[in-house]
Amino acid sequence: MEMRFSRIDPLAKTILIAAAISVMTYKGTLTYALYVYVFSLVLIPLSRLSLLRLLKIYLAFSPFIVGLSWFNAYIALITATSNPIEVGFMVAARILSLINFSVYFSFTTDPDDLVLSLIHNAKIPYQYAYALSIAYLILVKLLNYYVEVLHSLKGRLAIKWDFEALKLMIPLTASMLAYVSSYVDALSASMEARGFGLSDRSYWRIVKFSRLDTTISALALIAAAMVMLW
Amino acid sequence: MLLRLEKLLEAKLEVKGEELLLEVCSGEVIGLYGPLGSGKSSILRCLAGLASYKGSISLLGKELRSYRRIELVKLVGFISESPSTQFVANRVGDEVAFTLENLGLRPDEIRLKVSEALKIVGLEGFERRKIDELSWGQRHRVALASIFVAKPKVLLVDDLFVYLDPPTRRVFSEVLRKYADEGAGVIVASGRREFLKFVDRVVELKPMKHEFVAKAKVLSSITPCELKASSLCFGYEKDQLVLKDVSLSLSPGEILAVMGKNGSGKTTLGKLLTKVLKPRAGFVRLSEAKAKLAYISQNPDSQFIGKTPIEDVKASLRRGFEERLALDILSSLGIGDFAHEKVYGLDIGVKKLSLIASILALSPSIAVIDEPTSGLDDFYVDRLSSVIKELSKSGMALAILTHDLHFAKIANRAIVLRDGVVSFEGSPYEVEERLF
Repeated sequence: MEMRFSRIDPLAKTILIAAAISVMTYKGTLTYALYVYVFSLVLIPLSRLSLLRLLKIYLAFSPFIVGLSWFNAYIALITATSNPIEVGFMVAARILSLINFSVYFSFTTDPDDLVLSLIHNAKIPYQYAYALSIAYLILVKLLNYYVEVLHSLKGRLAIKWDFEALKLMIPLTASMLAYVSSYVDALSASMEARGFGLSDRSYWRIVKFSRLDTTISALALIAAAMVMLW
Repeated sequence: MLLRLEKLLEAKLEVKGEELLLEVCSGEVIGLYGPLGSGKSSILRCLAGLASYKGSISLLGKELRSYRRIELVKLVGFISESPSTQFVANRVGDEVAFTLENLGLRPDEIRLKVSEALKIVGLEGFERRKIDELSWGQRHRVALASIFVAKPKVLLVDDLFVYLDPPTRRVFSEVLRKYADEGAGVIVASGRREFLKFVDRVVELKPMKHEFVAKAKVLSSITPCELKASSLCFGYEKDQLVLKDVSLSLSPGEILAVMGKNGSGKTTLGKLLTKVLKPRAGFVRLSEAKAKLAYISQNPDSQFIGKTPIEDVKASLRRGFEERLALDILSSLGIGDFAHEKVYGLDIGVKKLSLIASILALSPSIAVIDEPTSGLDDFYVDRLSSVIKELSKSGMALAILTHDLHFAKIANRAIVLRDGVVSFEGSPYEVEERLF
């Protein structure tokens, strides 16, 4: 049976990813960070994403991957609580796993289905479901904007290669925050003008959980619980 | 009369303390004209019930404050200046249905109204289509349909026209006119007088200044350089080409207008010319190997490095240069007074000029300016034309990527991109809307 990741309900995907991230965070070792990273890699063919494309995404995020790993290793070196090299690699594996999961999710999930699934299947109040969906929407927009910023910095000859953005982390982060702030302002005005938040909201379509979604969610939760208790 | 506004004294407004009278009747399209920062958006937000105000706004003879929110949503529609930021959903149908779902209508009723609204804007049967896969013009129509769907009595359109290409602008003008003819009142805000030609009446918020003459300070070391691009081919996706076969040349001191509708590949071409992107096929050659190429983004926020304009210019000048020189460059563009202000707090016109100052500090031989007039009012458009003409006199070759027919006339030559190829080449005075 061909099981395509895009057919799975967004809520089931969220549970699966949350279970993997919980294991990685709870165990807090390099070994488990690598296990979860390998698991996230296994999902690549299911999401029909080419390795080359994934590598390009890694390259674009290299300032974060290298910068944050180095920063954490440096902190570990100062506090001498653990092996700084191991800490550096663990942080890198965690960031790579998060990138993988984010990319799979965004490549295979329709944000509209995510909202409706959260409302109808998880019974989350619609205001919160939309808040989550919009956070996801912002993340996708931010990814595109990040690429735009890199192009713009190359255009003004501030950098030649993507990884050089590391030296411009502060203005780059400021630019992204400014973008999110203006985007959220415009979006919230528009949503308010269109009556978001009124009581007695209705829905013109419903998204339902399938048997496959239930099985995947249950297996993910059981597996995560077993690993964490073990 | 549908809407009457008088003595609006909202704290943020420039019109504070003045009497502003604005009346909109059924069947009328009103233009709200004023420079950047004159309070156009704030006024529209007050009229939509989205911002608090002091004074009086009467809607259908009743004070706006006394309406419940659900009633206001049914009576007043608001379209922001950038519709792409107002999308909540991924698919056309879900986006258009959003307002009706909020109002609690029955699913069958929503389906019918969504279909009707899409028909009005010429997108019949588009319910399941992804918004991201639509053209820019179609996306703007989705934004319009998502407001039309609730059939508001008053429609407020923020400074949106400046972002639209001529064909989309014409469609919008016609649709808004038709909507007003059906009994609604429409208010369109803009900082550009030419975009308000279709309205019945214009209310001017504040006189536009036009006294600026640029003396753009160019560092003496510009290397005259000729650019030749041949058979450029590029696509973001494997099986989709944005540019199929584009060739052009650019000489020192020349201004070339690269035109085309939204999404025609102008930005992509600009990035290829400045080597930000690599073409799949074809090449870009320069007559001088050491010549510098610069690309100025249409969104200045994406390109700032410094916290203030002066820091940003200094970042381009690099070490060994005095603050005085940076200030000179900013002053030559008429924005010396803003040198120490935080860049993100400046208005879009000053931001664009500040970025040009930073690029000037690099002394590029060739500069590509992406949508220079987007978001600007008449005053800044004039100021920018003056700056660009000055730069070309210094020997810099400039390519301006624009859909602005009026602004493109500052160029010596124009090309029009259509379906990934150059469909027209000639004088910018010969470029007409039909060529898009």
